[in-house]
Amino acid sequence: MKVGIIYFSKRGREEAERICNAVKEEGEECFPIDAKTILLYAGEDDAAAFSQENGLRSFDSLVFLPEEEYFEFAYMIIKIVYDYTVTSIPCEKFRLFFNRALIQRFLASHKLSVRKVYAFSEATAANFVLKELKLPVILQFPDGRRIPIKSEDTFTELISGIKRDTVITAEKPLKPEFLVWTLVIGDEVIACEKKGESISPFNTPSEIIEKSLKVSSLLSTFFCQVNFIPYRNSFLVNEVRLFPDFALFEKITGKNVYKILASSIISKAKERKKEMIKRSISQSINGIKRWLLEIGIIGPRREKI
Amino acid sequence: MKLALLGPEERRYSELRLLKEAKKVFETVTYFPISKLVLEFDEKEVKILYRGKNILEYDALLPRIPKSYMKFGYLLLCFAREQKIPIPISPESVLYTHNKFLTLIALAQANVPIPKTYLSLKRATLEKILENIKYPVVLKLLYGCAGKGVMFADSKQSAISIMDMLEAFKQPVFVEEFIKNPGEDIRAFVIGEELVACMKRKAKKGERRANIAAGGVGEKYEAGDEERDLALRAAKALGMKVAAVDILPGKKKYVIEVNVYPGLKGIENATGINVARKIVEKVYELATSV
Repeated sequence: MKVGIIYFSKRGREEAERICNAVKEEGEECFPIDAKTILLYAGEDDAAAFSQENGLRSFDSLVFLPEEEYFEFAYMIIKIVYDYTVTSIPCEKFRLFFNRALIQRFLASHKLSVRKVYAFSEATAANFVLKELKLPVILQFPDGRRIPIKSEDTFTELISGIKRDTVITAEKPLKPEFLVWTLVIGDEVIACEKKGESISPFNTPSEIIEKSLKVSSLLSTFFCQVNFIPYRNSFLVNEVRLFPDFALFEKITGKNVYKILASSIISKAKERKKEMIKRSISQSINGIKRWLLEIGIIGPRREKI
Repeated sequence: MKLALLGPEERRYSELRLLKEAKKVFETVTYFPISKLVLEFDEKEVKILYRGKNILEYDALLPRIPKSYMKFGYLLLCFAREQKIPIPISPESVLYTHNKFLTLIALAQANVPIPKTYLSLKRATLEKILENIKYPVVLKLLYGCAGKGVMFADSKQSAISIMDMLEAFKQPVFVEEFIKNPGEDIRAFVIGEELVACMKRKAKKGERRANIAAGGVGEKYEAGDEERDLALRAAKALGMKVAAVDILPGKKKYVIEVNVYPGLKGIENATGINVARKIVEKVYELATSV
């Protein structure tokens, strides 16, 4: 099996190298790939993606460590390779991460509880949101910054400086004493940590395990980090990260996260590869049947004869 | 039947044309500036609000999403689709058409002929392509529109100078094979399964871009079977029931762009066809077939 780990930053490179080493220890080929070296091609014959003259479709599996600034480029790569190579997240699910409101709504529609959220893109619309929610509010920006707002002046000042088409979400703030971070790899919650002033292991309630696994399953992703916020005797999904902080989870749990990750990547890739081959064979058979029908080798005409 | 027309704050010719025709077909037509819309949702319901009014209560949406509202427009249409409100374009078509390279990927995957095009985040990777490519080449900004952000280079040196200059826009630049043509293209207007109007656009003297916005002139054009087929396939590849497809004419034809926010003035003036009315009728058909 040939696996590629596509990264977009210095931190991504470090993680990609660690994951690759772990995959190699499992006896498979693995290459870290700097996204900036990837060349995309579109032409009348097809679309393709290359890294150092190697076609990315030649990989059995491509794992993405995406970062917000390069989401669109990552999406273009996934769109090109998706029908040929197993990717760590499907094309249509990756699109949800273009916008916090989208992923939140997706989770809400699957009964993963979400509080009321507003999304807007300009100052005049923001004033309506402020009237509806009333202060205090918490604003989240596309770069992930969450800013609590307590005064109208601060709100006005912050919003007036936003660029057009910056989609901002607004919610009522909660003041939790802690957050809960989980790391899901494959079909397992590998780690569950309580993040207050420091990070420490957390005795995981079954609700968190179920919701974490549900998120990962809905997104069909090889791995993810799901962050929760306690709210009224329950836990709300607050954030989903496609590029978890593996190093941090390893440090806190003492588990060999990269070994677990490598095994899971290989096993998921093999499983999905089988599904892709089955689907491809089925499509080919249907294609052949259609052709035979068209030329009259099979079908009602033949039966008449 | 109630129609919500979403568009930029400033209503230009196209928006005014659509409003005028829509009022003849729908009982109620309201124009909503995209910038002033707010999305509200929780696990139970979704709303798209304008001054407290939920536009998802309308029977259909006709979106006119300019590049400047691509991200928010995409979000709006995702929500509208989820609530099964009839819309003539898919949310993905907004994403694709505002990112020129994504458009090309979608077209290539649908076997629609396009010029060979290359994109990389790293300039050095693109410069390797410039070593071996045939000149002239076209350099384009990923998010350009109306012919803006399109430049021609006759040599590697001039291509590099242009890339230096385009760096100021802080957008990726891609390199496209130049298809020889006498400074003209064909704009084909697709609505549903039909090519409803077609014009040939000729670039003004000294200019290579044929866009009307760049000073090009349009004249009525009778599309051949091949052009019709290309335009329909291109619109379908991008999930659009209303689309303006730009085709380079010649012995071999290429689709160079698909527009989700096309101007109506040029095509209506050149062809005399009431394109705005046809768009509205299509949306009405979608609304009544639900």
